[in-house]
Amino acid sequence: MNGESALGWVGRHVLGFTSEVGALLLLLLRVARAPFSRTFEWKELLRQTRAFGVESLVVLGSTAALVGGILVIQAGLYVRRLGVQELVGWAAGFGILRDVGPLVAGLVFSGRVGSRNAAELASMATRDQLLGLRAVGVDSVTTLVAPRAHAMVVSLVALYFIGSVISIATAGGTAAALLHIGWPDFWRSFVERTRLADLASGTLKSVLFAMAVALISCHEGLSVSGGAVAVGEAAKKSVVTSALVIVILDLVAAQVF
Amino acid sequence: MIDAEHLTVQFGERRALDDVSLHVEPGELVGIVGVAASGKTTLLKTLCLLVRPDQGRVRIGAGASASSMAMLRRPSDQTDPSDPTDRSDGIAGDAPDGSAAPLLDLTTLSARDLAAVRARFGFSFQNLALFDQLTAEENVSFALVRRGMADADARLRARAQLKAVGLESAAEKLPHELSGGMRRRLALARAMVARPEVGLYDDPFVGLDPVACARIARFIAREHREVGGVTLVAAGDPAPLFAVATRLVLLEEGSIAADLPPDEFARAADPAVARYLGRSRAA
Ligand SMILES: Nc1ncnc2c1ncn2[C@@H]1O[C@H](COP(=O)(O)OP(=O)(O)OP(=O)(O)O)[C@@H](O)[C@H]1O
Ligand SMILES: [Mg+2]
Repeated sequence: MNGESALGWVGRHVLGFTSEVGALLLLLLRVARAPFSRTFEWKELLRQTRAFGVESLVVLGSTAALVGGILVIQAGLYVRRLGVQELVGWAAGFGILRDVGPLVAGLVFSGRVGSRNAAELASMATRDQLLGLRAVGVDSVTTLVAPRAHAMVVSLVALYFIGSVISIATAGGTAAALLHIGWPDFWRSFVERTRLADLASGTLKSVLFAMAVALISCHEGLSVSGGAVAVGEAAKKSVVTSALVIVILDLVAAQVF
Repeated sequence: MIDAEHLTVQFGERRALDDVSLHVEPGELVGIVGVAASGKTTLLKTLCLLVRPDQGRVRIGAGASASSMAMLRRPSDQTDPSDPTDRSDGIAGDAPDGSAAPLLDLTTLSARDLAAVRARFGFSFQNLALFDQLTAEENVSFALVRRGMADADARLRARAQLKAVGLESAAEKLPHELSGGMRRRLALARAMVARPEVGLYDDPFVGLDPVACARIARFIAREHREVGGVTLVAAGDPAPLFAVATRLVLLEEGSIAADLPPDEFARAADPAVARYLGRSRAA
């Protein structure tokens, strides 16, 4: 901060932050409106949903499997000491559906899909491809950005479901192997005590996280200036910002629902 | 017809265009020349409002009054699907009653109207801006399809345009499978395919040998004759343009330093032109 007063520094960053948030909200508005336009690319939405989903499936699947196991291993300590075997299924289900499931899916998604999306849009922007669209009268938000953003919401929610199923399965397996809780007992505890509200809360979180990843990665991608270096920079900024925002949203959501 | 008045474009500290006025009549093929960073790209982008000028305005002939105004009132992607290349309404810009047609000020148009008016422009980018995932043919037919032309018709039209630039055998190739010169020609074909009233070609000669440059210049000249509109070609090196341009405009630090017919330009009587030609020959 050479020569700049602390107040000036704060002011500049507050201004910068406000204008970024403003830009994000504007993008949100345009993306939300896009499906009502005749030029919205439904085919592109389908294609991207599939691509995003398939792309993250392996990483997400393996992470989710590990997470299910870890949850039970950690819970095991208390379960043995307190003798609350009948709560393991519930604890796993509750934790996975409400908290860990959306969080893991969101973070994996941001690293895998958000970064690539930001890099792709950035590379198009730096090579005038977005202007190229505009030059033929095509709005890049409706045709390019919005289908991707909507696809991200659909595929992240789907990944949350798939990931949760995998986590719960490995949780059950781990419970059987380490805590000698039979699958039927685990399952009964899970089914009897898990509420639909847990699933709803997790789904809602996934939607929020997906919107965050979508908006942030698209915004970072679209607002680059410069060459190839800027493309990598956009991908990195997208992942870092998304992760931060996801964790903050998770904290806020935990208070609200 | 395109008429630019007092265009000024500021990028931060840098004034890329400084009070540029330029009037081009249909049938004119104007070369915009100048050293690197003299503002050629900025001028072409500003003429079609891909860059919004800080001052000044750009007007085009409301020309086709009937169709272009109707098009303006229709949503952007709903130009006449029966034949988007139909320009029989003429470009002279005479209203039916014989009085001069009103001019359309692009700087006052909304984003939506501007998108519609862009159907009358063709733009080829200095850095190509080809769509990576689309084949050569799809790159060319893209704008036609987006404007509502039937797929089959757009394909035919695209094929014909590819043939016109000698790329008929590359129709199914992706841009990265083409050579540099072929990519340049593809970018041109894409810009020309809708028979634009205003063709803006930003340095289509970059990185090409003199033979390839001359070939590109011929393609542009032929298309220009056939369509009969306004064509502006930016170039760092004026050589390929001497044979085809009707006028050469020299930009110097964002201002017009000379505006001469090619033969006079080549004689370099003007000091600014002499300076520029000296430099571009030395380079
Ligand atoms: N988007 C932008 N942001 C900031 N400065 C810009 C931008 N576009 C152009 N400039 C600056 O404006 C000036 C004119 O650039 P322009 O690209 O129009 O030059 P040019 O004549 O096309 O050059 P070249 O022959 O290298 O293509 C340059 O100094 C350039 O750095
Ligand atoms: Mg240029």
